[in-house]
Amino acid sequence: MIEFLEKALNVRRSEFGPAFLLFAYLFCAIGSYIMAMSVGDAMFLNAYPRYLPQVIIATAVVVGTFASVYIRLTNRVRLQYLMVGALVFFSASFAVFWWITYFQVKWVYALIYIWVYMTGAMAPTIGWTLANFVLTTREARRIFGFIGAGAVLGAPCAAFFTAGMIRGRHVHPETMLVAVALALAGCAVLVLFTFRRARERMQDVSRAASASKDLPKNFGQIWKYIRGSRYLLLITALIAIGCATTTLIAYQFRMISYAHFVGNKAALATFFAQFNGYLGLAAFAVQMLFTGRLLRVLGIRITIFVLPVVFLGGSMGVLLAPVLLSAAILKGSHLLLRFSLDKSTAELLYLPVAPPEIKSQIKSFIDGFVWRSADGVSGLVLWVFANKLHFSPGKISLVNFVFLFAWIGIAFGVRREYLNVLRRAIERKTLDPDRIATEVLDSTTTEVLAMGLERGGEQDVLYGLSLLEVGREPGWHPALRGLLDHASPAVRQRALHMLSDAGDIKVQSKVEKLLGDESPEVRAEALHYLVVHTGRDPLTLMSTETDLPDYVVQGSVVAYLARTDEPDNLAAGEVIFEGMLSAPPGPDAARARAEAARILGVIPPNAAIQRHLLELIRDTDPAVQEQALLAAGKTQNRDALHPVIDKLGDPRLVGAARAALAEYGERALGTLQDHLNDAAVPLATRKQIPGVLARIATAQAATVLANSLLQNDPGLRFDLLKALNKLRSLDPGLVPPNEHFEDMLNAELMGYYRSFQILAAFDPKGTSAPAARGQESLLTRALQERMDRELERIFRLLGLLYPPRDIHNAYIGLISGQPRIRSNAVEVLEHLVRSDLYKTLVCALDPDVNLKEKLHFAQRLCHTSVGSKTEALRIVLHSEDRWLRACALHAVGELRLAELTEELRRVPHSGDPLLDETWNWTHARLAAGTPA
Amino acid sequence: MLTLLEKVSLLQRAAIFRGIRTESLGRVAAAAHEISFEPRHTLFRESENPDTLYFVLEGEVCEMQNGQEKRKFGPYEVVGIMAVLAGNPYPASAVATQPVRALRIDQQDFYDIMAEDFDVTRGILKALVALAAGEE
Repeated sequence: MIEFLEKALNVRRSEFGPAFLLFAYLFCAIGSYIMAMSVGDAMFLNAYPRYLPQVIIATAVVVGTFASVYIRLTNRVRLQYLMVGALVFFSASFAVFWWITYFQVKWVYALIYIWVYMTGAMAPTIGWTLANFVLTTREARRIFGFIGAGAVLGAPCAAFFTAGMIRGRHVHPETMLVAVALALAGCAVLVLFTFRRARERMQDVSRAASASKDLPKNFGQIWKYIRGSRYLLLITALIAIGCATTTLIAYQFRMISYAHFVGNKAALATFFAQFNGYLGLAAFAVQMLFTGRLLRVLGIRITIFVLPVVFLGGSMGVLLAPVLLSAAILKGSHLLLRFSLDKSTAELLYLPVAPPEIKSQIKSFIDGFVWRSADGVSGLVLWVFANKLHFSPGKISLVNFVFLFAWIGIAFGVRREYLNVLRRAIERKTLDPDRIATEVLDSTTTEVLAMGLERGGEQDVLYGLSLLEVGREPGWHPALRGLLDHASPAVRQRALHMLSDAGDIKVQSKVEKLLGDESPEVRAEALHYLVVHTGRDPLTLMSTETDLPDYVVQGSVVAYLARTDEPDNLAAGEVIFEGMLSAPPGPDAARARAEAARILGVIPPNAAIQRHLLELIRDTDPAVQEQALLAAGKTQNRDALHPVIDKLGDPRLVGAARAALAEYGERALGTLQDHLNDAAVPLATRKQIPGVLARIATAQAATVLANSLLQNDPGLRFDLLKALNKLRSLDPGLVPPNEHFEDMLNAELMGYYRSFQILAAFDPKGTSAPAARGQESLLTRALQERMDRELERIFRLLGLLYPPRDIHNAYIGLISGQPRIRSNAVEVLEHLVRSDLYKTLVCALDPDVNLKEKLHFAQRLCHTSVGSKTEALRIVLHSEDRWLRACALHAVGELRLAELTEELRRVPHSGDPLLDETWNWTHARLAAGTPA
Repeated sequence: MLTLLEKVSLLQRAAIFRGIRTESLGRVAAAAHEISFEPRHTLFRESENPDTLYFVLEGEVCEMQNGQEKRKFGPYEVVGIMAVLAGNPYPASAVATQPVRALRIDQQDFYDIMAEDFDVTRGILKALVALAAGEE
């Protein structure tokens, strides 16, 4: 039963709780609104038929004010209290109104009218806000349809219930206010339950929401944002004029209905309720049966005009024959199309608006402010024309014609701008497929997306496909078939998957060829296609003669069987897989094992067959190991994480290990940090980790890098800085400047000056600019190289604290060796970095500062000096840098510095072949005694 | 027999290796083996697959193409490097014209070093770019 529900409703077991609670909420919220509207309209018209324009204006003002206060409170009051408080307030209000109606107080009907529309605006908004908080974006895309069905069903159920209660004279229209109050109280309880069930997730979402600091915060800022975009202005105008028009239509309908049922409040309320009920059902049917098809066939360029054109015809009918039938047809066409075709068209118009956060802000602004303002303007228009100029409800159509023609004019502007904005959004990849609200893609949008598939690299095409997948039936587009020949396996697999989903059987012959594709993912997808659409048995395929090697077919079958998740298939797949591992010795044995390892990458991580992964990582053949590493990354296998990190130290496998770890993403961060900071881990392995962290490229990865900067090995420090620089270039927000960088910069600067003192003492000519360097001794050159690396680390640190591009340019200028460019670079630095830091830098880098001045500055900074060549050599002989130490030993021997013979004995060298060899050579030369 | 650092200090004199850091050059030096040739000894022949390069320490090597002398290589020059880097057959034969002492580096070892240490690759590229620009 549960499985049936999962499949039928597209809701997963774990989502049943929130999905049903939200469904029930929207059912009650929309139900209470329809009940309240049916009786509220009837009661008000019965009491004050001439004051409808004024109450429309009052409603716009009150609802607008309430929405504004509510939005302000969302930043100050806990959302749970605010939502429940608002619903309890509405519920209590309707209970109080019901009580007041007993005293025959007429003004309360105006208040009820206003409250009905306030509830109608706020209660569904609360529901959708709650749904967005409780569900992740992926969950939302999957189950919003089910939740929305609550609203769709709630409307006719409540309408027919209201009609039944009043028509049978079971209750007075006023008594229905009690039902409204109870339904709203039920909504409050449902909100409480929903919060209780999903507290943890909502806390996360609350934090995330408050973190987005750059977005506009109030209506003023949002309006400024909209004004900055011609497209957003046009959308806002389109929605505003549509809203104003429908208010005029609603006025005509209500007044003509009132005239028809004059004096009979119960009959009017019953009529409104039944009308809403039938039209609700009809709108549901139109939405289910026609909206998607119309959008796909006609495209947004046509559907955007449907509503104003239909209204033109309906308004003409009401003008010529202002009777209940013509008014009902006009209002009916509104209810039928406004919440089906027009709503879907509006969602598509929001599609290219990015980023997604601003999209929801703009929607809130339009719902909360633009709609109310348009209502208010319509109220004023009605007041002028109906109350002052005494236009009959039928003649109001004349006014409406003006609005409708303006609507059509704006629609032309929107249509033209939509295509431009959509193309730009695709080029810049600003659309997020996971956060696109629309479920249907119209033909216009699809064509623009399909054009994008014909050019661009793998990532561009995959992005285009992900957007195309937003529509429910994407497979029909011929552009997809062409992608089966695309160079990228990921594109071929995705395109085939979409064609298979769409049931496109015209590509069968092409798919058969894909059984021999180089990528196992594509082969498995091809096999899946053939099994589903041609009824081929995967096991018989293995005994069929093909041009493909046995292990390729076996691999495809294993991948396919494992994906089906059927126990029998899994067992059969495992037998075939083990056969691949124990293939008879020969050239194909290692290839079969490599293929088996590759297949593990496309098999679910929890499958029993995955236990073979570790043995394949330890395989004797590097090609097998490589595929096993990549498979570990694809499946994010936790057991394999340590072996994958260990392989970073193997030069033959470092590429695969890095790619695999990047696939693990944040799941590997903790273990990577431990390895990075563990001195017992081989340095070759540790030095690869910063590059991996840069590929993971998240804020957490950047934090791990920044927190690991303090390393003894200068090479590792350099790798860490390089990774941080990469992340900063990618997204400056990932690596905010911090005090560790400043401390590290000071330490590196001091190290640089110390190296300078040593070099100047050993070989003063070696301190000249890079271009002026010539045939130096080995030690001089090694010291210069150390200083070059120190300088690069200094500039990499500066790149974390100041604009990286400017710092990089300054660095390139400084090492160029051309005096004019070096001077320019020094000048750039003067304007870029703070003055004390500049002074420290300039003394080392400015070609106009002489050696004496530099040494003087170095002495002040390091609080020490190096007096002679011998002292410089003594220092380097005890350096932590093994290479420098060896070069210093070599220099002592080369120069036959007998005064350092005693020092030589204290230099640790045993156990290191390089130091050992050089020490012996130097010792022998000193022992020989005569100069070369 | 030369120590590793002696080899480094000699190798760094070759234009093609000058852009490589000394520590990275130590890897090349580790793969370099001392070897001696008598005069008229052929180091490699024209059209043979390039499997070795030679760094001349002493003596002279002459490159011969179709029996014609093409170029002479003296101390601190590298013979066969272009063919090894390009992976193309040697365009000319190399013959010792005097007693020659050299360092011999196998192509596969050299490739491995370039793959493992980007500094070596970058240094070689720098030298090739400089060569193409006519600086050497």
